[in-house]
This record gives sequence, C-alpha cells and structure tokens, in this order.
Amino acid sequence: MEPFLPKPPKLAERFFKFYCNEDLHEEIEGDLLERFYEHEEVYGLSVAKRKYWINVFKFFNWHTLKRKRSSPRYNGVQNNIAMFKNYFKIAFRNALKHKAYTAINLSGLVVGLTSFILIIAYVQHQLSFDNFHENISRIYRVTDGENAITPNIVAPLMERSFPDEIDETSRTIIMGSQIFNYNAEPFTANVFFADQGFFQIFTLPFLEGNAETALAAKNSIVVTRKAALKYFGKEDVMGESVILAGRTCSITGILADLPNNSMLDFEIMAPLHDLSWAVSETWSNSSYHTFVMLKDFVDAEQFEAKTETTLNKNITEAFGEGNESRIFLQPFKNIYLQSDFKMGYEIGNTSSMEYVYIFLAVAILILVIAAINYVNLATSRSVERAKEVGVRKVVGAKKSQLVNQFLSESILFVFASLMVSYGLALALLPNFDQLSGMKIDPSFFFQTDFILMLIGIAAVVSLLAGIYPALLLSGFKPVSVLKGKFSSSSKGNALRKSLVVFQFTISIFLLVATLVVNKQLNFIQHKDLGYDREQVLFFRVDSNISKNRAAFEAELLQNPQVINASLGSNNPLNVGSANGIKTGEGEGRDAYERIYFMGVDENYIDLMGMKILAGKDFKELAIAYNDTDTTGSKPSYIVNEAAIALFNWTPEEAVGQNITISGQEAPVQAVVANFHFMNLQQKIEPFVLLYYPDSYYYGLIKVGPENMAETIDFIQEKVRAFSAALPFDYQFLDTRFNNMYKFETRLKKVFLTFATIAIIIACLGMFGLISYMALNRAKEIGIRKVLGASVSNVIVLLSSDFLKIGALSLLIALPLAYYSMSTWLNDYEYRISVGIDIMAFSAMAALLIICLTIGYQALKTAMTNPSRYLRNE
Amino acid sequence: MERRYYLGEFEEMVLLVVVVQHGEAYGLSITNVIEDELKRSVSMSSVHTALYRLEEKGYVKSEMGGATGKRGGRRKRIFLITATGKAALLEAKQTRQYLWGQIPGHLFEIGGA
Repeated sequence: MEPFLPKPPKLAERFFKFYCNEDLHEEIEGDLLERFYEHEEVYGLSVAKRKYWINVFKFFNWHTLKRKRSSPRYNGVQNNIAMFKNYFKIAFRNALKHKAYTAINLSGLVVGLTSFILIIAYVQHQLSFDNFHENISRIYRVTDGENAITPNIVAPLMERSFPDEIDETSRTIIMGSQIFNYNAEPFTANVFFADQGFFQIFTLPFLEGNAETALAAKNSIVVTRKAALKYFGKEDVMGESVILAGRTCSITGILADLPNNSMLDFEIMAPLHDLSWAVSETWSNSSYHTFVMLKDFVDAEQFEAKTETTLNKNITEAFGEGNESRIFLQPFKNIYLQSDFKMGYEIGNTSSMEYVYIFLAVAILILVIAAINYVNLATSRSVERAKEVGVRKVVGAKKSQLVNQFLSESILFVFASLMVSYGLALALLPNFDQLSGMKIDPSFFFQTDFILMLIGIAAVVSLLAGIYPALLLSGFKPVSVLKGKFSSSSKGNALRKSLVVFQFTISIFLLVATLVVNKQLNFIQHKDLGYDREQVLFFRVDSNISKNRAAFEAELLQNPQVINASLGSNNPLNVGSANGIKTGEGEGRDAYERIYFMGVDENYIDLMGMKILAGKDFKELAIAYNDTDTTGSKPSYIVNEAAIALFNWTPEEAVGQNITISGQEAPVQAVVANFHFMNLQQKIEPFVLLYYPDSYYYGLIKVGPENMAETIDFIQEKVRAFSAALPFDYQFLDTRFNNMYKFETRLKKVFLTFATIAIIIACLGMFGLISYMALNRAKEIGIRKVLGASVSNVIVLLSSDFLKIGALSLLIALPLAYYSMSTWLNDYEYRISVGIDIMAFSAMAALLIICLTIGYQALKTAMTNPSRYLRNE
Repeated sequence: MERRYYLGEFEEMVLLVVVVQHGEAYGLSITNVIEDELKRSVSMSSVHTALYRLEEKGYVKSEMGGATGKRGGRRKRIFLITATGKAALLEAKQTRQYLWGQIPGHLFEIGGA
C-alpha cells in the first residue's frame, strides 16, 4: 500500500452509503474508489473529487437504492409476511390483555372517525349539488348582481339577439303556494311557472310525458311523483284534470322525484304562457329567474360583457340614459353554495360555502384530536412495551422491523376503528341528517371513491398517529431497558404535553363557539321585534274573503278566543316588495331610496302590536291606496322610523309632511316604531304601510291561549263558509320566525355536538396521559410518601401539571375564540358581544373537566401503599 | 426468425466484454474497455446497471473476487457468462450475419465503410 492515499470527498461517501443497497455497496464503492485514483493520477485531485461526486449521483438509481429485493441476488432471507402476521398477533394479544387501554383508545378513534365520516359525507353531498344536470357547465342565470330575479324581457331579448351563442332560455317564476282543486277537494302546492325550455336546460327525468312537449299546450301542468302521491293519492295521474285559478288544467307529465341534491325545489310546474300578465315583455315586471344554456364553445366571460352591452342598449332606448344596469351570468352550479342575494328571492334551497368550510374544519380537528389521543395513549404504555422491545432487539430485530411492528399496531387499531365507525356512521345517518338538515343518500357510502378515500384517510391517520410511538418505542437501548433502567426523555414529555394543550385548545375553542352561537340565538329569539309574534296565525285568503273582509272579521270575532283578526298583503316576516321613495331632486337613480311596503287593513297595526309614535292609525283614518287613481285623493302613508330618518324628521315633525313613493305624493299620516321585517343580519330599512284592500292575500288572527284546537276548528269553519274552494293551511308566526333562524339553530346543534365529542376525546387523551405519568413517577411518589408526603400533597403534585396544561390551553384558545366569534357576530346588524361571562364559564368548565378527568387516577396513585411501588428493585 | 433472447445493443457490448475479459471482468474494467478501446463515452453506473440486468436475465453470473489496495480493500464482483448468455450472444451474432448476407452487394464496398 502506498504511504499516502488521496481520499474521496467524505460527504459523497456518506451519501453513497446512505442510499446504496447493502448488497451492492462494497463492489460499487470499490469501483468508485479505483476510478477515483485513476482520475486523480490523470487529472489531479480536485477534478477527481468532482468526478467522484458525479459518479455517486449517477449511481443513484432504482437498482442501487436501498429497498426490499433491490439486489438481483436477493433470495428471500427474510420472511416478511410471517413477521407481519406475528406483529398483528402480538398487537391483538396486547389489545386483549389491556382491555381498559384498548377500550379508551378504540373509543377515541371510533368517535373521531365516525364524526369525520359523517361530516365528509355531508361535505361531499353539499359539493355534489346540481351536478346531476347533464349540461350543468353551460347553464347560467342572468342577474343584475343585486337580485336573483330579472325583468321578463331579458330572456326573449337575449334569445333574439344571440341565436348563435344561446342554446335555450327559460324564464322561471316562483308562485309559491297556489290553490288547486281536484275532484272538489282543494289543496295548496308549491308551483313554478316556466318557459318550455326549462326541461331542455335542466335534466329532470320524466316518468310519463316528455320534456319537449310537456309544457307546450295551454293549461298543462307537470307534477313530481311525490306531489302526485301527496295530492292525488296515486302515482299514475297522466291526463287527470285539476282546477288552478279557475282554469281546468290537465296533467301532461310526471317527473321522477327531484334528487336530494337538487337546489330547485318544486312540486308542480306550469307553463309560463298560462299567466296572461306574465308573458308581455317589459322591463318593469321583474320577478323572473332567467336561465340560459349557452352553446358549447361560448366563453361565458366574453358573453357576459356582450350581453350587458346589448341589454343596456335596449334599456336606454326605452328609458333614456342613466338607467343602465349591470348584468352578470351566474353559473348555475354556484348558486347553491355561493348565492348571496339576501332578498329572499332565491329559487330553491341554498346553503353557503362558509357552512361547508366550518364543517370541514371541525371534521379535521376532531380527527386530529383522535390521532393525538392514539399517540398519547400508545406512548403512555412505553414502559410496559420496553422489555418486549429489548428482547426483540437482543434476538436480532432491526430498528426498522420494530418500527414496522408498532406501525402495524396502529394500522390494526385505526382500521378496526374504521370498520366500526363505518357501520356506526351508516346507522347514525338519519340522526346526522336531522342535525345537518340535509338528506344524504346512504348509497353514497357504498361508492368506490368514498370507500377508497376512507381507506386512504385511515392509512394516513395510522401513519401519523403511529409514527411517533413507533420511533420512540423502537429507539430503546436493549441494554438499559433489560437492566430495568428506564426513563423517558423530557423531550418526549414536552411533546406529549403540547399535544394535549393542542387538544384542549381546540375543545375550548369549540366550547366558546357553542356558547356564543347559543347566546346570539337566544338574543334573536327573545329580541323585541317591534311586533308581537306570539299566538298569531296566518293563512292564505282569496278574493271571496278579501271582498267580504268586514263580514269575515266580524264573524271571527264572535268567538271570544279570537282576539283580533286582520287581512294584509304579507305577514311581517315575508315582506319582499319594495318601491322607491323620493329623497332627492331630479329623476336619476340617486334621487330614490328603496322603501319596502305592505298593504294592510285597519286592524293590522293593533293585531301585530306595532307602536304608533305619532299620527293616526288606520282605525281612525284610512284612504284606500287603490281608490287614489279613481278619486284623485291622496293615499294614507304610515311609515317607520327608518323612513323618516331619511329626512331627519322626528315622528312629530314627520306627520303631515308630503313624501313621494312610487310617484304618488301624499302626506305622512303616522309614524310607526321600527319593526324587524327582515333577518336580524340586516338593518331595518324604510317601510311604508298602505291601506290597500286590493292586495289582501293573507289573513292574520290573534288567538287566545285557551282551547286552541277548538278555536282553530272554528276559524277553519268560517274560512270554509266564505270560500269553499280555499284550503286552510295555517302557520303560527313564531314558528315561521324560528324557521328563519334554522341556520343558526343548526349551527348551535352542530357546535354543541362536536364540541362535546372533541371534549370527550380530549379527556380520554388526558386520562391516558395521567396514567402514564402516574406510572412513570410511581417510585418518586412512593419515596415521597415514605418520607411523609400526604395524599393531598401527591394529588397536587400530579395535577399541577395538568392544571398548567389547562391554563395554557385557555390562554391560547380564549383570544382565538374571541376573535373568530366576534368576526362571526359582525355579520349580524343586531348582535350580542362575546362577553366575559362566556369566557369565564368556558374557563371554569374546562378546568372542572380536567379535574374530574385526572381526579380518579391522581387519587388512586396517591392512595396506593408505597411499598407496592418500591418493593421490586 | 423467432427471437428467443432479448439483448439490447449496449447489453450485447457489455456481455461481449465480459467474455473477452473472461474471469477478470468487473464493473470498472468493462467501463475502461468501452471507454479506452471502443472510444465510447459511458458512465460507470450504466455499465453496472447493464450488468445487473444481464444477471437478472440469467446471462451472466457473478461472484465476489479478490480485493486490491487500489480499491481501498473492497472486493470486486467478477462477472462470468452463463450458457444462456452464450446462446443469446450467438443468436445476436447470427442475426447480424444473416442480415449482412441479405444486403445487396453493390451497396457496401468492403473496406470502404
């Protein structure tokens, strides 16, 4: 050997050793070295070193990498299958041996995974909305950006202007409950009227009849199968006739039930051309959802701009400059989750993406909490497993094999939990549907994609949850663990503790969120709305009743339990119609503010318990709005505080002032206190009450608390007496009000459910941790007790750590929760503040839960006779 | 003619060198022959890869040979051709000869290439 040999770069050598298969290592390294010396002689050391590096990188390939069977000379020295069988067997035996541990661990995982599966099913369901329409990507709704509805001229105008780009258009109008008569039996059903193109645009399969012709003939209607069963008592109703608004219509089509994930929701569809007032093309009648189906190649964005130009040209021709409107093409598939038109003119069910995100975040958090639990519980048993690891290592197990062993244990646990959770989720689906307010098709659970995704998630969870315990357990030094010297590192302890802090942070966050949602909901439900919603029922009326209003009301009032009766165009919870009130000079858009209106009779203000601040009620003075055209008299305006605020008047000043609403100038007759006619998320807008006998569509009755059933029978009898063809479908105003806050009610339930679940799992984790600590410190505690520590000393010693964990979690969670819940509350014009009470309560609850969780274990450890810990040494 | 053996061009060359250096052929020696004598630029790792592939196919067998100081005490893996390998080489040769024989005479003037 030569006295001095140049050396190849160390790092390159190490890298080579790192990746290269052991079987090939020697021969290739030899070749590399030999080459290096050759190069060194020819080119010098630095070039040789560079070339060595290059060669090391070049050898980095599939043949040389460390992996099972990478060597061509591999001949199956290790029987891995058998080993894995053994791992699972040992894991299974261990699980059976420590039943309490297994139960805690499994229940944590099962609860976590079940929640996760259900929520994922929910999220998928939400995202799948309306995907069943074959042409979904080509369907758009035309809007002006503020309203979902557009004038009825838009669709025909677009169809005429762009025959090359548009495949089909359909105006659709929601008529809501309409009164039908079938074999002299009246019923009300939810009806849409639409142009014939509707069934070409949307994929709604016909059981009978066909999409092209179903709406072609006059007086034809199409019913869904469900509606057929509900109203006609049978499925085969083709050709049957029903009476709608005095016309005899025949059923020309039966639709299959609308899928659960359809945002469109109607029972009966009738052709738009049957509504004589609806077909004339005007800009002023804007109650229509304008759907267009573009041709395949059309770029929606360019087409949107083109449409805006064309429509605005038509508007300026009709009304002059300054009346232009924005035009948007809203993709139909976005309507369900992204519709943000707050006017309540939406065509069907909507939800919000925000809701989906909240659910998804909660699902992931719960899964994380469950995985953390596994980590904590698995590592807490490291003392017991240490000897096993030691023995395995002594008989020749490699570290990688031990990692495999403990990973297969976590795989076993997670997959066992997955199977249980899958069944459980399927069984709990109806309950979950109730919670989420959706109807998720169970067949969803059997889709291959879904199952594969679950298996994937379970694999990820087993890896994430298993890797730390596996690395920790496989890292024990056999000599020290077999000698009985076992200590866990403080680093591991810190990690476990931070994991528990994380769990509790999430749990406390969810707790605060629950309390805030609850408080806001209570606030909403008990807020003074400016009118009385208790004991008020409302129902549709027709012209037979509205024409004989006085007689009808007088008849009703004969019953002492009928406190008041009134007719109006709306109930205070479904006001949708708005007009313009002139607040400025000129005729431009800026000169007007929106003012909502409602036609009422003289009893209405009394019945609703609205407060007149100044002026005369309709009882004292009422000039009918519909008479003003014929008699030239000025109508009575009763406006709310928000309306007079436009002019900065006090109620007293306002009375007698002239205001112009919808071109009609008249003095303010009275001012009524503000009342909430919209969702509490919105500010109270200007409002005008009109005395308007032509517009009575609803009857409202305030009833006494006694003999409710009899009173309602009485009312029904009277309704029948006045209008035999009118069905009496009544609803209570407070029920309707609560329905408006379904979202919040649901959010509260969701948070409550998942906060509880999160807390339970976190407590399981904490229980595992304290068991681990108690075991670890058993000897220390034994010695302390021998030296005279009392039971309470030991309890304090053991629990102080956990109280610190609790305090730290509170420190993180409370500000976080405060911030995000305040953001949520900002959506509400009328809202609570998060408040110190909620914070304090959450903190107390969290600490109490922690005390209860650790109490048992701490007490047990503290009470144990120290000789039990100290005798084996 | 049905092909029974699959031998890439580079593999064939490596296999030929294994035969040429009978009993002495290992990764680097083969690389050196290809580079120095055949004047063809080749990386050591591709020669190794070709050798492992040949071994998988059963055309060569290998055993660990002696170490030299030049290798820092590492042993060499010596590659030897197997009967199958010989058959594959022969077949490749016959294929070529057959094709050469089929070339119309006037296209190539021997010695002019």
